[in-house]
Amino acid sequence: MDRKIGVYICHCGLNIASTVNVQKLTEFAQGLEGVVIARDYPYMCSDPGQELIKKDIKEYGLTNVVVASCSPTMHGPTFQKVCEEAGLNPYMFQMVNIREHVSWVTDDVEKATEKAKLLVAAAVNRVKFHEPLEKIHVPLTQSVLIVGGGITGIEAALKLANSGKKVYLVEREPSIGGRMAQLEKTFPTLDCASCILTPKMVDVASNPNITILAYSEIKEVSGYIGNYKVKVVKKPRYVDENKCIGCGLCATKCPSKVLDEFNMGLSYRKAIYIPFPQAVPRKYTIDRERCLYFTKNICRVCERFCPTKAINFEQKPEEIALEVGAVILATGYDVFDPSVIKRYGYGRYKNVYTGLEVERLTSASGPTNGRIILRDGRTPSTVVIIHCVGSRDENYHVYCSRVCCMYAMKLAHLIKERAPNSTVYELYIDIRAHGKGYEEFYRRVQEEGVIFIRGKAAEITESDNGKLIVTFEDTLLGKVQQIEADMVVLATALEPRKDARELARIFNIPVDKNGFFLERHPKLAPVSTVNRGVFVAGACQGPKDIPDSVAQGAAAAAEALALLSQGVVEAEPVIAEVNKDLCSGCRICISVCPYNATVFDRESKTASVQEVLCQGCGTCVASCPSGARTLRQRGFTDKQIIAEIEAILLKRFVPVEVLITET
Amino acid sequence: MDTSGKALSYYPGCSCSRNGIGRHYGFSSLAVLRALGITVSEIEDWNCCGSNLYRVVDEKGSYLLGARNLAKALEMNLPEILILCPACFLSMNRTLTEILANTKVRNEITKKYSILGSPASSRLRIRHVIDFLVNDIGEEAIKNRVKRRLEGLKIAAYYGCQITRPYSYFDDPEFPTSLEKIISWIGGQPVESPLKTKCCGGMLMLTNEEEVLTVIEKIFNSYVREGAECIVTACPLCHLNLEMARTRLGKRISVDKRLPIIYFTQLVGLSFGIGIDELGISKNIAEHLIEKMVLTATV
Ligand SMILES: Cc1cc2nc3c(=O)[nH]c(=O)nc-3n(C[C@H](O)[C@H](O)[C@H](O)COP(=O)(O)OP(=O)(O)OC[C@H]3O[C@@H](n4cnc5c(N)ncnc54)[C@H](O)[C@@H]3O)c2cc1C
Ligand code: SF4
Repeated sequence: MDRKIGVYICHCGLNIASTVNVQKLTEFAQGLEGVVIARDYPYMCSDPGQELIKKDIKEYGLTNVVVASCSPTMHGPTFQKVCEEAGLNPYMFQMVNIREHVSWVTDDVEKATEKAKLLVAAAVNRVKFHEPLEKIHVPLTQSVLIVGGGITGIEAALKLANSGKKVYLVEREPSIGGRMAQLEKTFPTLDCASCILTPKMVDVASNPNITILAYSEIKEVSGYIGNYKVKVVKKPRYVDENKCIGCGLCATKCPSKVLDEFNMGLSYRKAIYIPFPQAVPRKYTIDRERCLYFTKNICRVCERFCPTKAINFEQKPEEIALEVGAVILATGYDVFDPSVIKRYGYGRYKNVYTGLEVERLTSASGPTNGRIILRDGRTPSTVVIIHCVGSRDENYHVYCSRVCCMYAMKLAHLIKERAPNSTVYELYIDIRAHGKGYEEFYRRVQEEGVIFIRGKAAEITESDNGKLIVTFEDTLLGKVQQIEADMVVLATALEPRKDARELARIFNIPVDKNGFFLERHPKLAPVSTVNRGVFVAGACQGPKDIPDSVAQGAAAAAEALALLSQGVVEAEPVIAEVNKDLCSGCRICISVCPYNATVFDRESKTASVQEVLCQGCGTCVASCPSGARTLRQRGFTDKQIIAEIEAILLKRFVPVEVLITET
Repeated sequence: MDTSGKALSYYPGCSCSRNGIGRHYGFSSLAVLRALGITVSEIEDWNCCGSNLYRVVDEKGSYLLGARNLAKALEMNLPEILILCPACFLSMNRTLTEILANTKVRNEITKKYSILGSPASSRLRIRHVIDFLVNDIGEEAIKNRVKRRLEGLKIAAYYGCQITRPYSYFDDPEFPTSLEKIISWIGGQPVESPLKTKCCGGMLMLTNEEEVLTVIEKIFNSYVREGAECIVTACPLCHLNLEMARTRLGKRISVDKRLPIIYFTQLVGLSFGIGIDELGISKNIAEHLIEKMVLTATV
């Protein structure tokens, strides 16, 4: 077929034109075989720029378009759309990056122009082998799975449910609420956490569009965007949820006491319990590990007293199958365990606490009913709060945990409020008070008399009289100093959930270098992932405070809605393709596919590619022992790639030879 | 782990050698290893470790000194080198790390000691005797060898600052627990002090005695508070400083004059039933301790 190729060189203002000689480049392109028209223009992506291409496609009857400008991830789709609107199949287009790959990386005009020429020639060579491709369309299931019932998951669930979508909210713990339920007051406005959280939890419970699957975990996920099949395992509570009325008689009678994890081990709960009074669903759960019936085959007191006969020791794990169109992961964070920093002695000195523990101490419903009482029964008169414990530290996490400066100040405020005669010190490296109203809160706490010292605590030792000696360098004075304290609070880092990697694997999304879920783009696609039907929100994507978590929860809901409202989803056709006549069924491609997109078709005994799952990575194509005729990558065929290489390495601007024959 | 027949080279360094101030550390360590069936071969014609103090004025010279010892160990085909003195341990580790990681140093060194440029040099390991006892010999072998159990004797381990810092590959740098493990394996009850890895004052004892005494006073007090009945050390310099300071602090501290301060290897040796001459321990101290031990096998 005779090719009529149009080449368009963009100046990108001066971004490209100041380094690449665009006139020379255009002349060069005009001289290439098959090129009928080459033009340059200041902003190819602007309306007039786009019109220029459209007009040429129609006027010259272009068969292919090459645009040399910025990165294809930036404007590839823009120009594909231009082609489509002018009646040209968008896969007959090729983009050349002469900005990031050329003009931005050198000042040498001559070299830059030469490189740009080769890249343009390569693209012209390549498009001669392009073939029209059609987008793939799949229908969407109109429901959403949300994993994690913290404030983020709750916000997303309510938004989606109120827009009429069916939501499944899977929460691992017996109640939804997440970490926020453990907090007393929230910075910077100091509103009471449960006062603003509980109503939302109740809304979730009463919304007919939301199914709460509490005390449940994700077991398995298959399928693809718009059509996920999810297996959820509901752990046995040994209490029939339909019968339990949450009266709590069982717990008052239960003889087995256990350290209460909700109160960070600072008090006891019973073996049959609800994690906290406002729990949703308000259904009791038996802790199998501590239940006297399960451990010693005695007791069964709860069963005797339950007025509704809800106790069921025979309950088994239940597997629930869901079908959903989109997924939102909102699994939150874990707190860093500071006992690994031996010099702070957490776990060895009883009056060294973590922030979350003090959060419970200050809570009106906590182990001390909100009074600041130390493990040894005293009220502290000197308190030191140490910032950045496990954060901004090459030995643990290099990142800033973003919320600890603020919660440290909030705790300082609360401690001064509850123990008015106390002196509170904050040892900080830098204060990060970045949010709305945060700087003002920092001021307020200073005015309340909290003493801020810039310097990181070097170590804590215990003195003869049982006091904690905190040694640090005051970096503003340049002096090593010590404070004798009754209580030390470690503002510990936020870190990924222990099972974050496992969950990422199940949902086929990557994690970042710290182990948090990786968003598709840190600025432009903050709640999307490379798996297009899976969104992430809240602290599972990186340390976040409540305002940011809520914003992301709502954003993820909007993304999911935008996806579902399309009715069908388009998938890229740039994927692998099997020639069934030649495939020997060796299954090597199946073993290498990172997306489980290649499967074995038992009937024809050949490999087959599930179109929507394939991401076009090409791994299978490279692995096929019988070569490109059998397994080929649309849009990246051997002919196309070799034609490009010929231009760049051999300066052969007419592809004369294709080394590997291909169908 | 089966360590029988395991062979190491041994680098005594100036302080733990036959005439050094820490010779008893040397004697007792070798005796304990012998009792456990381990033979070590002293590096032939060894020289100074390169000394951390010397490194400050002549870095290359210091590495060359250390490298000569490493080269000799390789020539003996005993690339695992046992060291007792924490200062030597640090210095030799430093030399080895630099040779492996710093091309410039490696080139300089291998010019003189070509064997250190050979692939065999990757087998070189600097092993502290604590590391070797805990991680290679292990709990079972040590427990099996015990003839007198310490029966709950309260033992305080004083590590000093250098054993796990900066080369902390066998224990936590700030809160090591290896010595406590050994103490409990021979039946003792380890007592903790937050100051167990604090500096003993080192060489400052010669130039700023009062400063050193203040530091050691705190260390003693923290052990006395926990009821320590014996302090074990693992460093010749720490040992010397503790002993000197006890005399000079006099009434400033409430440490019993008879509280034994000994090398941990001497304590292990006593529990193994090794003779006091071999361990280099004085009769008084030995009897004081043996009195509190319980015979579990014929010595
Ligand atoms: C001491 C402390 C004080 C703080 N104070 C404040 C404050 O005053 N103001 C403020 O704005 N922010 C504060 N924060 C930050 C706040 O806690 C977070 O912003 C917020 O909790 C994030 O909500 P989330 O829903 O993303 O995560 P989380 O609250 O962690 O909720 C995640 C939920 O997902 C569930 N889950 C996890 N893994 C799974 C799984 N595999 N399957 C099913 N469910 C799962 C969890 O059980 C949990 O219920 C504080 C943090 C700390 C540590
Ligand atoms: S928010 Fe503050 S305390 Fe937390 S890591 Fe960042 S700087 Fe440190």
